[in-house]
This record gives sequence, C-alpha cells and structure tokens, in this order.
Amino acid sequence: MSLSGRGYAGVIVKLDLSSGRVEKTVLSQRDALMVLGGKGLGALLLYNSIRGGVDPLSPENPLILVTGPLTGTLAPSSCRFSIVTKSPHTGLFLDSNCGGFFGVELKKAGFDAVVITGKANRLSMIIIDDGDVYVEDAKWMTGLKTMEAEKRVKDRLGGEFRVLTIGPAGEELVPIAGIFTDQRCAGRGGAGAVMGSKNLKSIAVRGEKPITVYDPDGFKKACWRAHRRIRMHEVTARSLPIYGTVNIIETINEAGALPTRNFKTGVFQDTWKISGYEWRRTLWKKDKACFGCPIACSKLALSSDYVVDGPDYETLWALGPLCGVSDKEAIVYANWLCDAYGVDTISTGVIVSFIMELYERKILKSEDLDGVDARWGSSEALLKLVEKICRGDGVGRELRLGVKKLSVKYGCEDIAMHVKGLEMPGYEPRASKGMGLGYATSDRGACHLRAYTADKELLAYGGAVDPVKVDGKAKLVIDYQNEKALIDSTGICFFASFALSFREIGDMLATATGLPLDKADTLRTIGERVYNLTRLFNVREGVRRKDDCLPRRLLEEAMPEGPAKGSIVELDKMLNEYYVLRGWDENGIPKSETIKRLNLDSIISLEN
Amino acid sequence: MTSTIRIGRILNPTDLRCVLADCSDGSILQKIITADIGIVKRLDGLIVADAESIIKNRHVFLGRRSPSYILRVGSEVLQASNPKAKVEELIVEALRMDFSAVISTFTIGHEDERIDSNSMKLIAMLSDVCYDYELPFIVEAAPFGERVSSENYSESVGLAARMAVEVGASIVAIPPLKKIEDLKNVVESVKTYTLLIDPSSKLVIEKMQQNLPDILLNALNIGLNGIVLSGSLNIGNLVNLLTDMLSLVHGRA
Amino acid sequence: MIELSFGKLVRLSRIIDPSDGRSLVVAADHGLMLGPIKGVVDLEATLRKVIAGGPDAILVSLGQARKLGHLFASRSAPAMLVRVDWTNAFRDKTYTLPARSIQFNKVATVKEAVKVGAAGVVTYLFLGFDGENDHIAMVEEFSSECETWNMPLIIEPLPMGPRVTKANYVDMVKRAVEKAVELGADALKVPYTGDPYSFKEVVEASSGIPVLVLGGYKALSIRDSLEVISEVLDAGAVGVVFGRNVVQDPNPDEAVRLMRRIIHGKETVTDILRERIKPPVRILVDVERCSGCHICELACSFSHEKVFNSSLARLRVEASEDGKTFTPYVCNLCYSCVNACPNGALKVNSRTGAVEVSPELCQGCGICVDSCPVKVLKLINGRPLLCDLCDGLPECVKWCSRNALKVEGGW
Repeated sequence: MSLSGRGYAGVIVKLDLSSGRVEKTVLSQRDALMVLGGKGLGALLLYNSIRGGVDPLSPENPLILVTGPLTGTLAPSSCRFSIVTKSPHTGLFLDSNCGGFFGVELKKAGFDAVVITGKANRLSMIIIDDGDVYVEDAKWMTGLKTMEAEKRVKDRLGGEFRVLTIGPAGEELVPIAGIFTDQRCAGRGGAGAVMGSKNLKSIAVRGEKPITVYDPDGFKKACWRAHRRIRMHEVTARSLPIYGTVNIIETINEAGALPTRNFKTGVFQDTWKISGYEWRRTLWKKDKACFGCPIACSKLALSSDYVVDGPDYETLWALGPLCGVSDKEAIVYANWLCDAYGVDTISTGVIVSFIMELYERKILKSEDLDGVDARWGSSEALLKLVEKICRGDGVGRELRLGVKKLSVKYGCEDIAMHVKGLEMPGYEPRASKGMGLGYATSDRGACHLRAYTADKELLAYGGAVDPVKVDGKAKLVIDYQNEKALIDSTGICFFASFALSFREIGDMLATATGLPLDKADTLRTIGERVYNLTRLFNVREGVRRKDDCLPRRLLEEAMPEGPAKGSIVELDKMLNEYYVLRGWDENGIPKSETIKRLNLDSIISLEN
Repeated sequence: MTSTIRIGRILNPTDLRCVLADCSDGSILQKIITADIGIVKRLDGLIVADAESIIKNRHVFLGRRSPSYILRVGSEVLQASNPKAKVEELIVEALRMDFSAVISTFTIGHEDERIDSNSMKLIAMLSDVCYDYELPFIVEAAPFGERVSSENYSESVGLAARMAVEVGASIVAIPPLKKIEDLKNVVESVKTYTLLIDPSSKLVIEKMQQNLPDILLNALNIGLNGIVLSGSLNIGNLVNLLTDMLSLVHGRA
Repeated sequence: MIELSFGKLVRLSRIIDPSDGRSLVVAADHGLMLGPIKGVVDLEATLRKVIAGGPDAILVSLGQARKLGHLFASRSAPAMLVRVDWTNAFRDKTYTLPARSIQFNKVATVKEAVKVGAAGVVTYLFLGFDGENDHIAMVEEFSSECETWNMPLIIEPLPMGPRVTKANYVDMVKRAVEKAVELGADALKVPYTGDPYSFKEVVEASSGIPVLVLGGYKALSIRDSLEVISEVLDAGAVGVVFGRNVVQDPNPDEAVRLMRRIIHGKETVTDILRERIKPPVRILVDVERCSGCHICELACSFSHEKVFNSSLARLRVEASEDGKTFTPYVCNLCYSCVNACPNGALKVNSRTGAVEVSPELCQGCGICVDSCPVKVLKLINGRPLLCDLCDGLPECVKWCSRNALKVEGGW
C-alpha cells in the first residue's frame, strides 16, 4: 500500500553525482512502521548503503536528507528534517536535525528523502524542481559565504526555492563544517565536509505538490490539541518565545553546571550580562519561527551591518562562558563568522577554549598562535581565533581539525573536552551526571540532545532529580535517548515535544498515516529500535566500551565550586547499569536477543 | 475564636440578620418540610436535638445555599459520668456532621439556686469546648423560676443575657420585653449578636400584648439581629408565618 | 460502593452543586508552593474579583483561610477548600530557587480545616520518584484524619519524577488516580492528558470518584481553557480546579463567569465565541508580532481544502528581502473587488461581512484579482479564491500563537 498522501510523499530519490543517475524508489510501509522517518529512516538507509570502514570523505559515503511523516503539516513545529551520513570528524554515525523550511519544500517536491552518493566533477549544485532532479554547475559559487550563497541561488532560481548550502569551510573539507539553510544549520559532526567532498556546494528545492494526510478531520483535531498544549505550557508558551533557548542560562549557572573556561569549573560570574533578559533588552530585535512553529525560539540579533539568527544557548555558551567571554557584541560577531564560513559553533568554541587553557598553562605562546594573546575572557582573542578557524588562516589550519587531534599533538588529552572526537556541549557533567552518561553513550559523540536529562536534573520540569546522584541515571538516560530518537524520526521539533506525551504524538502520526502508530508503547519501541540501529552502525565501525568515555578532567578533577563542589563523574558505575538495562554486553554491543526483540535483524544484515 | 464561615452561614453578612426555626421538638421539622420545601430552604437555620433528623432529611441540607443546622444540647449532658468528655464528644460529632453552631438554654431565677448553678455550669462547659473547636455557641438567656416576677423581669433578662456573654456566647437570644427601652438596654450591655426568643416560647414567662410581627419589628429596629421561632410554629398557617418572618427580617419577599 | 458519611456528603455538596453534579473550583493556594506569583500578590483583592464571577469553591492555604474567612462567610459565598500539604516539586526553572530533589510535607491538620469551616482538604500524591512510598504514607494519614472528621479528601494525583516518560505518561496518570482512589479520595484533581480518548480512560480509572481537572500554567488565550473545560466535561469530568488561568487573567470575574457558562450553563465554546463577533468580522494584523511561521496559511488551506498547500490559502505571509520582517496579508474587507467586478458576481455576506462569489455570474475575468490592494486574491479553476472568514470564526486567528492576527472585538 502506498504511503503517498498519508503525510509521507512515499518516494525516496537517489542521486549519484559521479554517474548523474537519478533513481526513485518507493518508501515501504514496513520501513515506515519500523523506523518511521527522519533519523530512523536515515539511519536505516545509511546502514544498508555502506559497509564498515568507508572513508567519510569518499564518494561512497552517502549524504542523506530525510523528512518525517509530519514534516510540512499542521503538526506543531513540523519543519524538521535530518541530515544523516558518516561523520568525517568522528568516523561514526552522524545525524544532524535541522529546522527552517528546506525539509518542508523537499516533501512538497514529492520526496521523503534524498540519498546523494558519488562525487561531481566540479563544484556543483543539485536542483530539485517539483519532482525533477538535476545537477548544475556551481563554480560561480566557489568560496561564497553561506548567506551570500543562499541569496544568490534564490536570485537566480526564484524566491520560492529553499536552499541548503555549505560555506567555504565545507568546500575546504573542514571536519567541523556544517550545512546551512535559512539561518538554521545542521552544524555538528562535519556534514558540511561530506557535502564538500562530493563537490556539492548547494541543494535548491522547490515544490508545489500539496501535502495530504490519511484522516484530515482526525488529524486536524489532533494537531489542534497539540498546538493547544504548547500554548498552555510555560516553556513553550513563554520561556522559549520570549528568551529563546538562552532562557535557561542563569538556572544552569546557579546549578553550577555552566561549563566555564574549558570545563575548569561550572560557575561563570558574568552570566547576568548574557541572560535572556539582557539580550532581549539590547540586541535581539525580532522573533523568528521555522515553518509551522508556534514557539518561535529564534531571535534575530540586529547589528549595524548584519543580521544573525541567534545566539542560541549552545552558541552563546561556547563562544561566551566556555572561553570566559561575556561581551555580547563579540559573541554575536563570532556567531556570524561561524555561520558565514559554515562551521559548527560548539566545536569552534571548544577549540578556542582548549587553546586558551594551553595558553594559560604556557604550553602555547602567542608566537605559536600568530601573535594572538589568548587570554581567558578576551573578546579580541576570541574573534581572532574564531576567524582563523573559519578561514583556515595561519594556525587556524590546524585548529579547525578539532580538539581531539590538537590534544594528541600537545599531549593534553585529559583536558580535551570531546567524546569520540565530537566536542562537548554546554552542560557540566560533574553537576549533572545524567548528562555525563548521555555524552558518553550518545551515538554521534558528545551531544546534549540525545539524552536531555538536564530537563529534570537542572531545570526541574516534571519533577526534580538530584543532579549529582548516580542512582537511576542509567534508566533516565535510556528513556530520554529512546524517546528523542523517536521524536527525531517524526518531523516535528524537539521543543514542540516538550509539551506533548507520546499519546498526543501518536494521535497525530496515526491520523496522518493511517498506520497503527497511536499506541505510546509502539512509539517507544521504534525509538529504542532506532537507537540500537545507530549503535550497531557504530559497533560496525569499531566502537566499544572504551569509547563510551569522558575526558579525564571530568572523571578525576573534582568540581571546584558551586552546588556540585567536590563532585566527579562516576561513569563506570553508571555505564555498567546502562549496558545491562539496554540489553548490550559488557563491551557495549547489543546482544542478539535485544536485536531480535526489536526485529532489527529483519531490516539490516549483521556481519557478526 | 469562632469560625467566620460558620457564623456567616447563620447570620447573612450582607444584613447580619437571621430567621431560625427551633425543630428540636421532633414533629415540627417534618411538618415544615412537607408544608413547603422552598420556604424551608430560605430559612437561615434549623435547630435540632439530634443528628438523625438532619440525616433523614438530607435533601434539605445539601448544597451551598441550604439552611444551616444547629445542635441543641440540654442539661442531660450533666448526668453523664464525665460531663466534659461527653460535651467534647457531642461537639466533635457536631463538627463531623458540619453543624454550624450549638445552642443551649441558660435559665436563672429558681428557688433552688443549685438549678441556676447547674445551668451556668452547662453553658460554661459548652462555651469552653465550642471555643476550642471554633464552633459558634448560641445561648438562649431566659429568666425562669419561682423568683422571677413582672417587677424584676426586665432586669433579670439583662442579668441572664450579660452572664451568657461573659461566659463566651457568640450569639445571645433574649425574650421580648414590654418596654422597648428595656430591650435596648439589654442589647447595649450584651454587645454581641442578639436574637429574639419567640414570644410564644415556653421560655418566655411574661406574655406580650402585641402580635408577633409588631414585636419583631420593634426589636429589629433597636438592633436585634433576628428571631428564634419555636412556639409560633404550632400556631396558624406555618408557611405564611415563615414567609412573613423572612420578609420582616431580611426585607424582601 | 461504601456509602459516604453524612458529614462528607454535605460538605461535598457544597463543592459539587447537587442540582447538576458539576463544579467550578478556583485554586488560589499558589503562594504556598510558588511564592507571590502574578495574580496572587494581593490575594484578597483578586479573590473579591473571583468571587464576583460565582465559583463553587476556592482553594486556599490554612493561613489565608484564617485571614480571609469573611470572604466565604455567607450561604451564597463559595465553599472553602484548604490545602494541607506543601511541596517544592512545582518550582521548576521558571520560578525562583528551582527544586533540586522532590520534597513534601504536611502543613495543616484536618482538624484545623474542620474548625475553620472548610468543605474539603486537598493534598498532592506524586507517583514516579523514589520517595513515593513516603508520599503515599503521608496521604494515608490525611485519609484517616478525614475519615475521623468526615472531611472530604481531595487528592491531586500527579506523575512526577524520573520514572515518568512521554511513553508512560498517560498510564502514570491512570495509576496515580487508582492509587488515590485506593487511599480514600472523595474527589480527584487531575491533569488533562490532552485528548478526550485518553482522558476517558483516566475517568474510568477513578471508579466513580468525581474527577476535577486542573488548569496548570496559564494558557495563551482563555479560548483554549474554555475548550479544555468543554472537552473534559464531555469525557466524564465533573468540573475543574483552575488557578493561574483565573487569577492571572486580567479579568478574573469575567473568566469565572465564562467558565460557569460552560460548566453549569452547559453552553458550548462556539456559542460563547459567536456572541462576541459582530459583522463585519475584520481581521487585524500586528506585523510586529508575526514570526513568519506560516501556520495561518496551513490552517487556512487545510480547513478549506483538506490539504497543506500555501497556494490554496486565502491569506499569505511574506518575508521581507532582508529577512527582518514578516507581513501577513489578509482580506481586510475593503470591498475593492466587489466594486471592481463588472458582472456583479461578488457580494457581501450580511452575517460576517465576507465577500462571496456567485458562480453563475462570474466570468473568470480576473479583474477582482488585479483590484485587490493586498493581493490575496487568485483564480483557481476560473473562480476567485475568497476569504470566507470561516463563517465568523477565522481559523487563521485561532491558530496564531503570536496574537499577530486578531478579530476586532473577539479573541
């Protein structure tokens, strides 16, 4: 039975840039029921497209863009699509969830997903025009910054087109390069470099097909109830719309969980200067929403010459307290630089703070840094280093490779804040141990989004959980990981899901698709299945227990101040329990009974 | 301390007035309820001698706007082996049942002064426990006995009423007096809420010449807060009586 | 079912109106849990407004009960409910000193509540965290005190803590309700699970114990609250306990009156909405507030055509060249098109003021499209696509979460 018109477009298109071949396949109901869409479908397609050991920057590595069944509908915040590939930064699974308008347009063009393989002869652009897919020369776009590239494509093709693009960093195959669209980004893990390795500068899409659902009346009611929930929840009706994601920064700091100066401590004295209230009072001039979103968490910071969508919490933290900086103008400009050149702000910030600590320890001197006086808190140093990372000038060439490589060179692995090579985001694990376990076991490397236990550990939503205790954290992390994997497969945004239970999400999915997706337990199982699928991908790439780790600093250096003073992360204890509850063996490999229970063996083939 | 809410169920705060019907004599309650339930529901309170009458007629008392019910406690309590404990037991039960107040009679003027003394003992005990439980306590203060005469009647009423206040009554009910200035003096010395005892009550020794509506009107004019009907409930048309009383006291039909 | 003692029966009858079995309770105990939040700073002033609207009962803490007894002292005044426990669990990040672990305590005895004249006591019961057995033990104690005093026990069962997930949320609500019933609840104050079907299951789990639904955070629009009330009543609830949605409303008395109309008046939300609308139903646009989400276009196209297609929407949102402004263009009833039509095919609907086309007279010439100053008209299949104002209750206005689209005089 075709899924076309049931939320889904029903079609996956494969494009090989080497041969130019375009192939359209039907999205099967079986796949939809097993992995839904978005992250899940992307993981399935990725797993089945390649074998272990593929070079992420080789033509073989597919770049997959996937929407979810709810993308483009009246479901709240239905803008989301995932970019799935093998990461050149970590050598592991990567899914990057992105908002804006591109995913919706892709579905309007008639496709649930695009799988791009191969490599074009010269810098190219893919155009998807309402069902037609073709490749065009894009040499004229060489070196263009992301905003400029997007604007020029729209000028050429028409304003109805939505554009995905990489910046100069992606063209230069920088491992922390991201993919940008409409001031939103799929930042982490180097997807931009994968796109660059295919000689692909940009993808433009335009569609006119209406998106339809199985049960329009039922779906509309389910969507309205979901919207209503969002309008009745403090976070989604007030905190996020007014202060964006920055709304949490003071609370995180008060909990002693705001990583400051390369995670030396969790308390930043000048947090009040960069609170949501401060931003609202000064630089933020406009609330901006992604497609179909009633929350509008994005804020446009308007400076004299430029507009920046941001900063969001992570960007603000990474370019701010992490480096000891509290200068709003500098942070906004650094944000703009990263966006323009197309690199991940989190990774950039962690690299800068790492350098600043090496500088403090006198392992690096300003001569090593092209004369930069890399003191903590120096806006000047921040901007100079960020610019070097973005442009690859001088020492920037090396810095942009990430903290893992840098730490090997300088012998400071203990304070290189990454897991599996992906730089660590803005929650201090010693003050929020669930987040620590989440970082260690995240499928793409250190990520705060896979298991957002900060919800309960630091923000006390739905019942506070003691952040420094380790009991029960394994189960907490697993629940969050499974549920987030499901949400990332639906096409709606994480923030919309704050206010919703699986019953409500299931109602929307079932009425949209006509598939038996209304039961909360079905959805939970899909989430667990997807999370095990990405784990199997990583296991195939050689990930074992030793990789589910945290930097020594967090395991051995006691938190010096704040509510979590004296605390370290007891990772082993939590990890043991985690593996048992997950049904994985002591090495972190999913056991065969777990694989069977989740029917994973029916959709992927397993070497072992 | 007295519960503002419970007093408010009896004395309407907008006019601080009430019409109470004493149904502690068994059959009268059924008579009123079957006569006109609408009228019953407009009364401010019904006095009963036990919880059963309330439970049996629960449909009258459910809902916010229903009349309050008041428990009458008599001197039989003093017969118990531990009267204080017995009083406590009664008050607790009254609270559980959500009675709005307790009412008892204080009489003074017997030849055998021990009767006077026991009467005082009863109301003192009741007042004490009611205060602990914030339950409003109404005392019918009526001179009664061989020593009471027409000559000393109004002063005796003043005496009894004042004693009731001293011992802690929240509301005092007093018999009508022939001279309105005498009634006024009593009200002034009492200072708390005062109600008129039904001129046809057994407690009232001095018979009045005027009819009930006139007596009540005069009393309301000098500051009394309402009436406790008892004997009059057995005279004439019950529904007319209650309707007249309600309109006199609260000012509207 | 065990018969209720008279004391419980008569007190409950002051909360739940015996004439229709429904109840509107306003919660005003937030000061105890959350501090002086907006709306409860001057509690007496707020409650006077609330009482003017005519609720059946008001929930307060014991301290306030003692101070504000005079507000409840009359047979026409609302009944008083007393909160007997305290917790930090609701102090999430949006409040001062957010909780770091779940704590709870008794803060009043049932005896004191009886003395002050309360008609019921209210306590939380959390399920989903490590201390839940202690919480159950505390509620058990309240339950037996309530038995002793014949005071109705209203339990507020809530999923709370690390064991609550999105997947098990509805089940947790049901389990918490079952536990509360087991512990002797005479009434329940429960969260709405979001849709009537799952909520019916919650009502079933209550085994006949009356269910009141709590309001939670303040909704963006009172229209949303009224809708929720209507839905839960249909699903078997007997009423609501709304706090912030009443006390934080600029007009608490009006909010209560509207809620009364749904609960006791048995009116529908549509009835109430319609009476506020007078023709012409003009949609007002606040460009500053528009975030460019396009939900209005989706709602319009889906309501009319059952598909998601912006080109079939009767309005549109445009982003400026520089990406700094978003402007909704809606039919503003200027009637230029009506005047421009050479065939007299366009008329004005007298009820709503919307423009309508007579298909027999329309020649498909498109002059109306050119005449439209905001360019919201287009020809589809030879006929102009016209905004019909959704018969007086525009969908675009309903779905806009930003108040960027409003109806003059309505919500």
